[in-house]
Amino acid sequence: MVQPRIRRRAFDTVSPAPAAAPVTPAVKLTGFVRQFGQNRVIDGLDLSIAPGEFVALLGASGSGKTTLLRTLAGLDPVGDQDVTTPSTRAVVFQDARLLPWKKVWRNVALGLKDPGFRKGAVRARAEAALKEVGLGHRLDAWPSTLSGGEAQRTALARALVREPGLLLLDEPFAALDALTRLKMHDLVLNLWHEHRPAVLLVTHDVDEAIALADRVLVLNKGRIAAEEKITLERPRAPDARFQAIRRRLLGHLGVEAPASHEGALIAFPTGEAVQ
Amino acid sequence: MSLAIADRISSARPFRWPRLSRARWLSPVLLLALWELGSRLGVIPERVLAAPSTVAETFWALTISGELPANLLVSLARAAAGLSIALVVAVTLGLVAGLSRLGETAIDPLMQIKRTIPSLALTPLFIVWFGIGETPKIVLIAVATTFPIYLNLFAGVRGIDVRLVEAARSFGLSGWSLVREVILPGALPSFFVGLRYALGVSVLVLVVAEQINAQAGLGHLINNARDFMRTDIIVVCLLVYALLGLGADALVRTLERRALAWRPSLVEQ
Repeated sequence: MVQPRIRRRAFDTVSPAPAAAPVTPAVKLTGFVRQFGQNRVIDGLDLSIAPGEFVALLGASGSGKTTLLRTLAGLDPVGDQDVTTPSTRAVVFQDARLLPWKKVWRNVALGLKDPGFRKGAVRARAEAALKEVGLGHRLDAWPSTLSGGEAQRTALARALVREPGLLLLDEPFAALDALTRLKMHDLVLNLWHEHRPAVLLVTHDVDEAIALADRVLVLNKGRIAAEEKITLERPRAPDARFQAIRRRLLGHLGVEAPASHEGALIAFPTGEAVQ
Repeated sequence: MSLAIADRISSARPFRWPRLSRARWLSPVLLLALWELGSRLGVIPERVLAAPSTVAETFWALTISGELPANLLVSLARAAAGLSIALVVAVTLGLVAGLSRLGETAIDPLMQIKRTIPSLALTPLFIVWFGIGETPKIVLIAVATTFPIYLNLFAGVRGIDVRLVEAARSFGLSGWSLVREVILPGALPSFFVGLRYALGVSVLVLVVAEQINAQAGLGHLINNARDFMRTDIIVVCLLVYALLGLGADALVRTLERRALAWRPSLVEQ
């Protein structure tokens, strides 16, 4: 397998968007509600993501993760509620969802129609994006011939080729084997440093959330139940501080009792706003 | 002649029965040989059934004289005209019904009612409406081939993976671009099933339609041959009908191989 040819940068030199200066958030939801019949999936949720910030969203099945992601992706109607998102958004789904009848580069170029560009220019953009994820040699392959990791990298290229202000990752690594998943983590961090979109990563995997994100949110019953700012330097080794964060997050997911209320953990009783 | 070949094989290699047991061509060849033999011995009279050798000669003569190609072209043109109308109508109706609940409510009951009426039973009505010229023949083919294309396209559109549609929507596709890039390609395998079926139906309906006072075409050729008890010409026309069916199938296969090259089963070939 060809390794992604990515210019590596030291992760620890990059910090999330400056916290001090008042920045217009890339994503802002205030008191957001989403209801199916009697079932309130999202119940008065407040969320703010700064431009270029990497946020991970943890939660058990049925906690409203997917509904929130669909809302931010513009796939569900929001009515007249207060929802701010960047105009350019892109989603990477758990199953790559490549169109099987389009060659890899055409999948990446899906929906790209810059009136100033000729057809060759669109292909060049798709090619550049595929080279960035290490798939420059699979431009003309059919999606059915890709491995799971290659399909997911194609989906990443398809998302990033449109330079989104918000990149939504819906458990994109859940179906991959452990080794491929670790490589994908590196790739995603590199691409994030290169393009600086705001990222919302929806995941079940606490370790993955801690390894990647600037901030981890725990969603429970349609509300943000806890928030953890992660200031560890990247790449993050599973050291004692990592383990402490892990224990606290697991506690909020109801897996273990939380060890202690230390660090940057902010637990919220019912429905308080997360700043 | 064919018998002699079979004999020579079995006598030259007396212990190769297993290979001969898989020779699927053998029984048709034997049948032809018996048929030829019967004709030569006078057991099968010429006016009941012409000998294979006579049929072959007639085939060649009709081809050389241009009579067969000319009539074949007329028949093909009728089938093509009817199928073209059916394609336009069926694809339009299939898309409208497939893409909207309202369209389904409006169109599908009518198509199901139409399906229960055997298309060939409409022949008398079409003769009353359109006379005995080209029109009733083409309309009959169009009416009979619309349903299989419609039904399969409708099922194909409804069977699209909604997750793919959702992904495409998240990348800004909507309306016609969504239909062109996602829904039509996704429904294409089903559409080809319908097209293949429609081509078979078109040959079948062609046979009946051309019995309506045809001045040209394979049906005309057969009718004339019947009047003059030329069983050789009748058999030639039957052969051509069979070849048309095979040709139609080969045509759709070729189209499929090109249009559905993305499917894993075809990619691996």
